[in-house]
Amino acid sequence: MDIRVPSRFLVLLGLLAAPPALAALGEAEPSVARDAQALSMDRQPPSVRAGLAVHELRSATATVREYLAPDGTVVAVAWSGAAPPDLGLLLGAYAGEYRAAAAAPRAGRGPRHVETGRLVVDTWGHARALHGRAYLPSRLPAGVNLDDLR
Amino acid sequence: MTSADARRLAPLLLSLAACGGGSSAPPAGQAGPPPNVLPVSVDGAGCSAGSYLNKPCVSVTVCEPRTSTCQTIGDLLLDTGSVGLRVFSQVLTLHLPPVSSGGGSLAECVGYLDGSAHWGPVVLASVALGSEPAVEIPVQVIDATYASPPAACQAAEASPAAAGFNGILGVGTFEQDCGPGCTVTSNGMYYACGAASCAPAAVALASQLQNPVAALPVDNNGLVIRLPGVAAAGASAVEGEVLLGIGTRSNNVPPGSAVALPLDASGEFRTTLGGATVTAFLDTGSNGLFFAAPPGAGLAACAAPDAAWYCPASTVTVDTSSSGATGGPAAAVPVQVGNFLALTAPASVNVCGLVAGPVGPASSFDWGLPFHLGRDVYLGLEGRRSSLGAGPLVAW
Repeated sequence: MDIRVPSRFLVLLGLLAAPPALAALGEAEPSVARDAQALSMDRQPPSVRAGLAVHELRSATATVREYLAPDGTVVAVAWSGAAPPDLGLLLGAYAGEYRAAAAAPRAGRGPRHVETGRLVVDTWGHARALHGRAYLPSRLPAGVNLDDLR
Repeated sequence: MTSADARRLAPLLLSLAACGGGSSAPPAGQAGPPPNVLPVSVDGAGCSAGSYLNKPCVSVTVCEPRTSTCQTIGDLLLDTGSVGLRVFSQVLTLHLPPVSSGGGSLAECVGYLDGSAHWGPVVLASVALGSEPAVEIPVQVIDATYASPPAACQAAEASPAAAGFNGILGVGTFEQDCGPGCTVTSNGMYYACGAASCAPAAVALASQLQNPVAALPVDNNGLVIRLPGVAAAGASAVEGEVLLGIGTRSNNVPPGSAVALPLDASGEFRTTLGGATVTAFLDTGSNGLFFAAPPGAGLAACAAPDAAWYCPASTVTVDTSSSGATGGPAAAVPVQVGNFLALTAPASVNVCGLVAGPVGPASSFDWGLPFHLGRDVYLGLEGRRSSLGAGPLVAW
């Protein structure tokens, strides 16, 4: 859950093998392969969607997409499947503020829109098809259509 | 019991009493409603006091398998957007045997559309809907403190008070809550818990949470949600019913005018509005209609903290057309959306058909509880057939 503690260890690993960072929201130089392993998902070839490079991970029951700005920063992540992924991993340094904001009481049940000031998280769907996305509005390149971020 | 426990339980006991706990079905042979009728209360006597807007509640009788030790549990959310019976541990008085997995016990982490989740063991229970014969099926005990929850369930809902109900009766169109996707490990939902920890587990279809309707000996090909309509100004409560089975008895025969929409593998059909077609689903567990407003429709979100709802200056009509996942006949539904704040301002309004709100990207249409007011809605289960066709399907 806490991805800051092992980061020093990962930096060390990275020096030996791969780019030394986490594929989490707001992070640069993502190690998508490391995320795929942590989530037990298969990595797909990178593509372009919404004008951003997208790295897609798949399992039998879920898909995760990580959107990279031209500078290599993960500026959005989206997920869909039977179960929500470990958002502590995907949201990285933003996970805590999402959890705090999402814990605010609400009346009723429906899709959720959570804003923290620098992060937006949307969740929607139903059993076997749960969807969500998180993005950093101030770090999205101009011209990105938010409807494409999913 | 500690005093903290007592404080925690007190409201639950009150809510159980308020929901008719302890009542029992009429004996067989006695005149009464047909056995396939399950009463539904939207914010009425079947729900706990202070229930949220547009909350459909049912009551089911749960027994320890092959015993007469039973408990009637009320204030369960009737949810066509999920599958399986889930009950908070704080409400259960029964001792239900765990379902084993490998060398441990099966547990589940299930997520919902609002980002919330439920965690707890899977146990075997005898479940009776309406006056139908009881069926023995795996159900979930919702217990955030059980064993060691996985990361996705670390913030799982801890109590009926936090959730707003005692549990969920999921009667969507699937037979199991997860299906073939969970027969492999690392499915993100099922775990085998030993003394020390829980590990991802592959689960056979029969050990997954089952749709109680699919498990019935008869009336098992689907269900009908029948709720009365309410005036535009809303109502304090409405009472309706679920009819189990489609075309299996005189009370659940679809009219010839019903349009059946076949669903895809995700349980979805298609809805077109404002020239765009999006995936769509029925969900009595969503307490509004949720869709992205077509450009120029005049639907703006309410100001915070009510931005989950639309607040148009006056009631807006959005024309929609729905068809099956692979085309076919279309059903037109004009959707009326009123001003959420104005509609729900009177304290007496707990049920309202005109409330709607936005959804993340313009890619889906959540036909929640308001859609079901004043219209019979048919859900044909996957792998089952009825006069409406082969399931999974929805019809109205």
